[in-house]
This record gives sequence, structure tokens and C-alpha cells, in this order.
Amino acid sequence: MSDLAGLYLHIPFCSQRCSYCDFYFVTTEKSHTGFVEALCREIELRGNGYGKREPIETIYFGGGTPSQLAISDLDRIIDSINDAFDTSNVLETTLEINPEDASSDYLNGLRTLGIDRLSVGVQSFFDRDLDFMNRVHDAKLAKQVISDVRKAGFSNFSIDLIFGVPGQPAEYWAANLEIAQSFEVPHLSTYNLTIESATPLKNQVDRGLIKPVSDEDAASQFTFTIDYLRERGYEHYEISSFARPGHRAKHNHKYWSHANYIGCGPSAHSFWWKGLPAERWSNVRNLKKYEALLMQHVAPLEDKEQLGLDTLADEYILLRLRTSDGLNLQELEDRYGVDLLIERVDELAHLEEGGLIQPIRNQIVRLTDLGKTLCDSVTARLLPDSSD
Amino acid sequence: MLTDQSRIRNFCIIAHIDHGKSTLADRLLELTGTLSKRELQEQVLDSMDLERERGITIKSHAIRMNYTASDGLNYVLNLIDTPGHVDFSYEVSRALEACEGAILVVDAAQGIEAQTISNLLMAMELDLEIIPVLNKVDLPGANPDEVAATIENLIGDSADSIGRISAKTGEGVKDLLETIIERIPAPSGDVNAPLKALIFDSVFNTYRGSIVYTRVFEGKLSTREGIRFIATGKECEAEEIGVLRLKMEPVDTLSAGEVGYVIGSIKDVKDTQVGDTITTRINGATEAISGFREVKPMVFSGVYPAVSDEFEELRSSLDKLQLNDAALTFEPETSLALGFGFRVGFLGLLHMEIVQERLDREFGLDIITTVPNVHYKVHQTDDTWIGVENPSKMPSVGDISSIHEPFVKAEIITPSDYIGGMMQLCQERRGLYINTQYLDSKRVSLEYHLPLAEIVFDFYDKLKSISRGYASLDYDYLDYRAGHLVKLDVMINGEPVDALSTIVHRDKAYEMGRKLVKKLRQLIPRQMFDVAIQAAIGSRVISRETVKALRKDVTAKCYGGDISRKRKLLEKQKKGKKRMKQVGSVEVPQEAFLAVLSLED
Repeated sequence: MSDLAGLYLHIPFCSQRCSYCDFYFVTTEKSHTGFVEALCREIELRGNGYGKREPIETIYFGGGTPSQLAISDLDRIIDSINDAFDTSNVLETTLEINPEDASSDYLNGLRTLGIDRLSVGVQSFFDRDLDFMNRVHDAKLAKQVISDVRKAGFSNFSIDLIFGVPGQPAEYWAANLEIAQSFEVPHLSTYNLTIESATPLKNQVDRGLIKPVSDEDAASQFTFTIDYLRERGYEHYEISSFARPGHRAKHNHKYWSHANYIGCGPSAHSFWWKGLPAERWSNVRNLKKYEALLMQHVAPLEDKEQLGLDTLADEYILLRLRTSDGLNLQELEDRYGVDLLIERVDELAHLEEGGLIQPIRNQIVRLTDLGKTLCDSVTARLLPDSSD
Repeated sequence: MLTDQSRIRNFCIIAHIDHGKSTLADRLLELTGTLSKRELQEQVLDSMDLERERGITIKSHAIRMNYTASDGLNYVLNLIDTPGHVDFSYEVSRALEACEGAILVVDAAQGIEAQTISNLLMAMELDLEIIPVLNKVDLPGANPDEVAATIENLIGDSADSIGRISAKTGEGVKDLLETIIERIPAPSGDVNAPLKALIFDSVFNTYRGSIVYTRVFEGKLSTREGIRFIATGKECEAEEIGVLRLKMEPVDTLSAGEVGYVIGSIKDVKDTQVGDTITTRINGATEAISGFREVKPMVFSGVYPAVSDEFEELRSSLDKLQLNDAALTFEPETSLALGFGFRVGFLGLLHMEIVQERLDREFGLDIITTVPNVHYKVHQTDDTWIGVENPSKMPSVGDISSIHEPFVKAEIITPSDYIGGMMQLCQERRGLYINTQYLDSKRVSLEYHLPLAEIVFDFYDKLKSISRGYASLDYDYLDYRAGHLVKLDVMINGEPVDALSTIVHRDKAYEMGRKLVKKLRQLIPRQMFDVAIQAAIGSRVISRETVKALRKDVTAKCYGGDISRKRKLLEKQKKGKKRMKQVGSVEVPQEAFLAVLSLED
């Protein structure tokens, strides 16, 4: 894959609130017209910003719930993208979809739009879990959607599953994985339930209504997942991502390889590095504000930061350690000017000795399975002393 | 113009912290017109911020007041301020020496405290005229009659004759001024004898060098005269001499009986030590004023920069502090755990705290200090003696014949209700009981001989908590005594941590070891592997705890917006990490190095 940019589109609509979710969304918006208009304007604005027709390689509709948008709305958005960017090199167009939205008409509609990858919000195949998370769909639909997606002609798709669910019977997680692999799902994202601030879940935890799963149990579910899926032919190519060969997520890869990406829609984030300093920016986290700014053709910017090489090196280390391709020390030295073999030679030795990283081969640092459970601690130990 | 000695009164104020010394000084300055109410800043004499906040006077100063008494004559009053803590008792004795009289201020509600008694006894030994007054008589809860009776017992003045004042309202202060004129003897030194002037303080000024505060006993000193400091032998010219009002006021001559300052070209306060005698280079005195002592640090602690690249800054800051503080000593040392730092010697615990705070406030340095310890004298098997100021430098057990530690004579004054608790505390701290003396029906003075090392550890806090804040402590150094002492080492994952070594009594070593590793287990955060913490005497492990490894530390999602969030979190951690110290592969937080100080029962 080349260095071409990825394009992310944030669709902030949901029919109800999942208890764990801290992404930006609204549940009360009946009409999507204003938003679609604003989003198309932003796409146009961004396209112009890059001298028009910047080549992009991946497109990703995330949310929120992109499948809340009508096919006609999606069509309009994709037209705008084709106008504003050079899409002749696009390799992957993904859309996140909830099981309850996946009617055969809708799925067929997506196919005709050129969407060639789906990320399905399954989360669990058990009603108890789905109730706990306040999902719309039930277990039956969770299974049904997989065959429907296949039937509609999608051979490349992913499902999300969540582990570390409080109060979940011990057998459920293994059963969830068992069901997923029995459907020969080509890609799985397995997330450890995280109690994020300002979510209903956090509120329940604070009030003592829910007891979070212990680190011990979450870690053993995580390592179980790695073992189980690896034995069944899945590559564990990123902390939360498993793929059958040839089915890695190309768009997500951009995040983890420090490639450029442009995010459109409220709360979307972007990263742009063509010469120093690199930049990260985010859009306003408010739909009304977002629409209002774009009505005046103003970029809906909330935050912007500039990143020097030291900061970029920190990011690169934290991103690459999450992947099975690993952190390439040669690349780190050539592109970021950091020689970890000098800066952190003792730490590297300690970590290898402690079984947290694999022996360094071809200048590449990779986590062991034990290291993956402690990924953030390992990362903290390897960050160089910066001059910032 | 020379001041007629019969019109001079030199005096100081003896009082416990909070008993109203500074407020009384303010009133005296106001009543003598030395400064107006408008100019009157709270606690004028305490110029350092730190002093003002703590309500204690660290360095002594003096101020000269003019007063027209009821006899119609003009007098010169020199109020010499004294430091109020046991660490500075030598400085107190020199300030008292410079006076003919002392005002004893006692809080009418709280009664007399150990510190005050010890200073009072010192003043009486020096034959100062004591004028006792009861302060805060206007406050509810004041018990002037009872307190007056205690004072009567101590100094023999009839309780009825003891003045009652309120320094706050000024009530009784005018009368006190008259009493000062009446009762405190005028100085009577021979103006024509060779110069003898006592240094009772000196401060360092960046532009002028050492400024010496002095009381002339005999002879006279004129500007531009050559002078000599008898004990240090240093000679220079008196470039400027003067008297101390609110500001320094140059004069041509200081003569017997007067208090003032001298500035020469003296770069180092070490050359102008408190207690030394100034005389003239030509026709000078041969004998010094008695009582000079070189101050020696009694308590030592490792002082390290929290961030290792601040070592040079720490050195220059200590250099600067030393300019003003002749009692402060330091020399470089290296710790495996803490890197490069200094072994710093202090007069006592308060002195240590003051130095730490000044490093923090005045120099903005972030420092780690190790647990304070005393100076040990070690008799080795080859019959040689060595001094040990750092526990990790203690010779190995086989080379030690005996270890000797400093003892102090401690006086504790406590309400009699707490006498049992006090005695138990002193026994726990290896104290030898000497004497009990009832000051009145409710207050008792206990005398113990205690190892200084036992006072260095939270003794004062314990004393205060047992007595609900009412007991007070004073101590004075006695001698060195042999004790059954051992070195207690701490190992983290098998690596000895030199900065955590302590010297303890053999009988307490097990308990101390157990508590110490337990405390360290709480302070050392979980890491990626198990961390074993052991306490050992020599090669014998006496206690062990384990910090279990972290089981999970991994962010689930890492997409667009998560990246900067995650990175900022890691960068914050990175900053925190700079403050961690590495022992082998274990990251140890700085609080761990003071764990010994906060052991719970």
C-alpha cells in the first residue's frame, strides 16, 4: 500500500445510546438533510484545501451509525467525494452498519454505491450482553445479519465483539468467538469494554451498580482470544484486530502507520504530515455548530496542534507497538531521528528478559502475547527522552 | 557623638512561638515612634517569608529605638531579636550575651513552655535582668494568676509584681517600657579599653559581603579602622559601621554599650562566626569574649535533585545558602538509586526543613531528601575510629568493634495528665529517665537522656499528639554513647538500595524492617513484573513483601482521535517517570525514599 491518504466520514446519528459509547452522536435528529448538506460542503472545502483532487486510497464511514443514512444521502456524499478528491486509486470503502439496519434492500443499495467492506456492530451473540449494552438488535438478528451480508455479496466484512463485559457468564466470551469463527467471518475487532468518562456505564459504575471486570479476568479473556483465533487461522495484526489472510483493514492501517488521513463530520480527527511540523486537528463536537459553520463556508475546526519530530516519534512508537508488523527501529531512526538502540538499550534488554518483547530481529521490536496485555506500560518504557 | 552608656538599654524578648514576641516588638516600635502605625507591617523583625508564615524567627536581628522616659530623659533601646527553636540554641545564647536584660513573655492562657524555660535559664545563667510579663491577658481562657505563680516559682519574682499586658491592644506596654528603663542595667564597659565587640549574627549581602551584627562591650570602633576577628584570625577594614534602625544607618563610631553593624570586605560568613569577638588590628584585645563555639551539624541527610540534570544547580544553590548560613555543611555523594547529590549537615530537624523549603522556594529546585540520620562514631576492630554520616557507608559488621551515637538531655514540659504517655514514649525511644519536677499543680517537667537518632524520627509529632499539642520539648547535646546498633538494608528485586539504609537499634530492627517493606509495598506502583522488597541485616533477610505484577494495561481502541489522547497520556506519564528513580528495572517513586519517616504502627 502506498502513502496515499485515507478519508474518514463521521455520521453522528444513532437511534439510541449504547451504554459504553463515548463517540459523538445525537439520537434526536429526525432529518439528516442539513447534515448531509454540511458534510458535502466540508468535503468540498477540504478537497479545495489540498489543491483539489488529492488522491485518496481508502474511505471509511464511521459513527455514530452511518447505516442510519438513507442510500440517497450516502450517494450524495460519495458524489461529493468523487468531485473533491482523486478517487481513482481507492482500494477500500468501508461502512459501519448496525444489524437492525441491514435489510437486503439496504445492503444491495450499499453495493451499488461501491461500498465494498462492512463493519458490523454485532458486539455479542447473547441477549443478556446486548441488553446490558443497550443495543437495539437481539442475538437472533446478530447471527442473521452475517448471512445476509454474505448473501448481498459482501465477501469483505468485519464484526465487532466486546469482551470484559461485567456480569457476563464465563462461557459467553468463548461462545461468542466460537460463533464468529463458525461463520468464517473474515475480520474481527475484539474490544475490551472500556469504562469511558461521561457515559451511562461510568455513571453506573460510580454509583456502585456495576462492578467492572478485574484486570486479571480481562487479561485472561484477551490472551484466550489471541490463542483461540490464532489457532483458527486469524492473524492478530493489531491489539484489537484479527484478520483472515488478505482481509486486514486498509483504512485503519493508515492510522497505525502514520499515513495521512482527513476526517470530515462533527468530532472527526485528521492527521497531515507533508513536511514539518505535521498537524493534527479535530472538528467541532456539536452537530448544530458544525452545520452552522459550514453554511457560512467556514471550516468547522475545534482544535489544531502542530507536531515536531520528537512528538511524531512518540506517536510512531505507540502506534507501531500495537501492530504485529512491529516497530521498525531502522525506520524510526531514518524518518524520526531516534535511535532506540542507544536511547533505550537497557529497557529493551529488561523487556526482552521479562518476556514482554520478542528478541529483536531485523531491527524490529514486536510484543509477545504477555507484552500485548501490558502494551501501554511497555510503550511508556520505550518512549525516548524528548527535547520538547 | 557618643551615646552616654547610662542612657542605653540592651535587651531581648524570650517567648515561645505564638506567645506574642513579634506583636510585642511591633508595639515597642510603635510606642517609641521608631515607625508609625502606617509603616508598621506585621512582624517587622521577621523579614523572610518563610519566617513570617511559620511565625518563628530564624535569624536574629536587632533594632534601635529612641525613647523619652517619664523622667524626661532620652534613652536608646536596643532590642535584639532571638531565634526561637532548639536547633539554634547556640545563636540564642550569643544574642542573650549581647544584652543586659530580657523580657520574658508568657501566654497567660497557655503557660510557660519547655523552649521558654530553657532560654530563660540560659538568660539567668548569663545574669540578665529578667522582666516577666503575662501576655494575652485580655483573651478569654487566660489564667494569669496560675501562670504568674509558675513564673514566681521559676524566677523568684513575686507573682503580684508580674506585669500584665496585651501586646495586641497595647495595654500595659507603656508601663513595660518604663520598667525596662528602671530595671535593666545600663552597660558599663570601659570605653578606653581595647575594643571587644561580640558578633551575635551575620548575614550575607551580594554587594557588600558579610554584614556583621555586633554588640560593643569595651572600647570603641571607628570607620576605616583595621579590625580582627579573634577566633578566625581574619582581618579587614571596617568600611562602614552603623546602627540598626529600620534601615542600616551609618555612624562614625560605635562605642562600649552600643549595638550596630560592621561591614568589611568579607566574602564569606564563615569568617564572621556568631560568638566571635571583633577587636582592632592595632592595640587590640588579646582575650576574646568567652562562650565562642564552632557550630557543628548534628543531623545529616542526602539531598538529591529530583531530575538528575539539576545537580549543578543544586550545588550552586547550596553554595548560596551557605553564604548566609555558616551552620550548613555539604559534600558531594553518589547513590546508586538517586545518582549524584550531597550529604548535607544540619543543626537539627527544623534547620533541615528550612533548608529544604528554601531550596524549593528561593531556587525552584525539586529535591529528594533521604531519611535524616545522626553522626555516628565507629570504633573498628583495628582500633581506629571513623565518623559515619551516611548509613550506607557503615563498615561491614566484621570490622565494627562498637558504634557510638549522640545522646541529648531532653526536657519535656507537659500537663500532668499526659505524664504516663510521655514516659512511655521516651521509653520506646530508648530514653533514660533522669528526673521529674512539678512546675505547678498541673504542669510537670520531665528530664530524659535520649539518643538523638530517636528524636530525629517523628518524636516531636508523637509528643504533640500524645499531649494534644500541649507538651513542649527542648534538648541539648550531651555526649556519645555506645549502643547495640545495626545497619538495616533494603533490597528491591535483589538490588540493595543505598538511599534506604538506616541504622537502628538491634531490638527494633525486626519491627522496623517489617514495617518498612510493608510501607514500600504500598508506595511502589505495580509494574510489568513482580517486585520483591526485602529488609536485611547483613546478609540475613528479615522481612519480605511482593508488589504483584500488573495484569493488564492496554488501550482497546486506537483510531483517529484516540492517538493524540493516548500520546498526551503517555507524555504525562513520561514526565512523571522523570521523577521516578530506577533501581535495576524497577521504577521507584520519590516518596519511597522517605518511607521510613511515615511508618505506621
